[in-house]
This record gives sequence, structure tokens and C-alpha cells, in this order.
Amino acid sequence: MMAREWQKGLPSLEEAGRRTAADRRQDAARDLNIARAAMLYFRSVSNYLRFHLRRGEPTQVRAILRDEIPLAEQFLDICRSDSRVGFEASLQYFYLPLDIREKIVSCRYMMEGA
Amino acid sequence: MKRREFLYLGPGVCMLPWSIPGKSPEGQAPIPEPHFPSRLYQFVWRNWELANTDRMAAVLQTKPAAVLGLGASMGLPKKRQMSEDQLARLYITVIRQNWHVLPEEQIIQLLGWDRQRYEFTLKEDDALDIKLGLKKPRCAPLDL
Repeated sequence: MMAREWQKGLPSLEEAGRRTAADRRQDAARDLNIARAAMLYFRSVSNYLRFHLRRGEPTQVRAILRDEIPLAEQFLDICRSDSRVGFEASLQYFYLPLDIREKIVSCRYMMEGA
Repeated sequence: MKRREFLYLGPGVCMLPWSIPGKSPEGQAPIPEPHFPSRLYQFVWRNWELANTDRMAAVLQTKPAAVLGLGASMGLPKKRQMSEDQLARLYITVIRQNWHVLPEEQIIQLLGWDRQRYEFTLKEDDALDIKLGLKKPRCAPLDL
């Protein structure tokens, strides 16, 4: 639900970016990317929980993984374009592009075995 | 829910491999990552963006070319040389990424630290050892 509600706000932010003065448009685009990263994060958290709740149900697990892989691919694009996305503040570690790629590999591996 | 499981649900969840976290009792076997052919490949992948080739090679008791070859075989991007400043900022990530991969002695070697600094960091750096699960999983020494 959090992800769904968050996603509703993204078109408004995109529109605001288009209306932003040219000299601030780059900042607006970066803000939009942060908002998109947050939406992907919320969806991923939801998938993560459902994945663990549905373990042992191959059809459900495959569907969750199928949903998660493109989220990770989108998240990877954002991580690669903005280094602010990649520092986990509460636990103080970094996650780097290869970590996201590993997640994609892991999801694909599990899809084959699910 | 155990604390460690809860911590895994934190903001870094987007990058987590989706294996089962926190199921290993303290000091037991590391979490398996079967999407890697072996722990050796896991080590190279996990440290590709965290450590310099010569240090990785020293940990594996091999030559840098062997490390680069393993990375290339997985299609990893060109290896970048990390600056001292970058390395100094990455230590928590290095410890975390190798917690289930290397024994402590090899983590210390990878960091270029001594045991005293390593143990002090685990204990005093904002309860890092608790975040990692307190007891280090038992990892056999890794070499090529």
C-alpha cells in the first residue's frame, strides 16, 4: 500500500520537474530519482516480506521474483546515476552496483529452482 | 522475530540477496549463497568494488592476475583501484560483506588491520558486532 500510494505522487513530481526553471532542472531530476528509489524500495520491502511468507509455494514465489527483478534493475540504474543512493545510514554500510546485480542473479537463480 | 532478522528488514533491504537471513545460530555455518559457483567466486564478486586486487590476491595467497581472471570469468566490470580515502570509509561494508565468506584472520588481512583494531571496531563502532549477529559464522580459510 505504501508503494502504491507513493507511486501516485510521482507523476506530480515529474510534472513539477518539467515546470522547473532550466537552471534547476538537474536538481529536480535528481530529486525525482530519489523519490523513484523510495518507491522501488517500498515495493521491494513488500516483496521481501511476501517472499518469506510464501516460501514453499513455488507459483507464488516465482511471481514475486518476477516482480522483483525489474524493480532491482530500475534500482540499479538509479544507484549507478546517483551515488547518494547506496549508503545505508542506520547500519552504515554501502551497497554498490554489484550488490544490486548479485540480487538480480540470486533472484534469477531462485526462479530456476522454484 | 529475532533482532537480526529485523535488522535485515532495514533500509538496505533493496540490495540484500534473498537468501534466508539470521537462521544460523551463533557461530555456526555461514549462510549458503548457491547462486555462486563457490565461495571463491563469492569472495571475488563481493570484494570487486571494495578492495584492491593486490590485497585480494594476498588474502587468497595468489597473484593479482588470478583474481582478475576470476572476475573476468563472471563478467565483472573493469577493476577499479580504490584510493586510501575510499578504503578508509569502506571498512564496515568490507566486514559485513565478508562476514559469511572469510574467517576473521582473512577479514583482518583484507582490511590491512591488526586483530586489536578489528575487535575494537566490532565492539565499539556503534555495536557493529550485534548488527552482524554477534558470533562470527565459522568459515574455513579460503585460497585459490
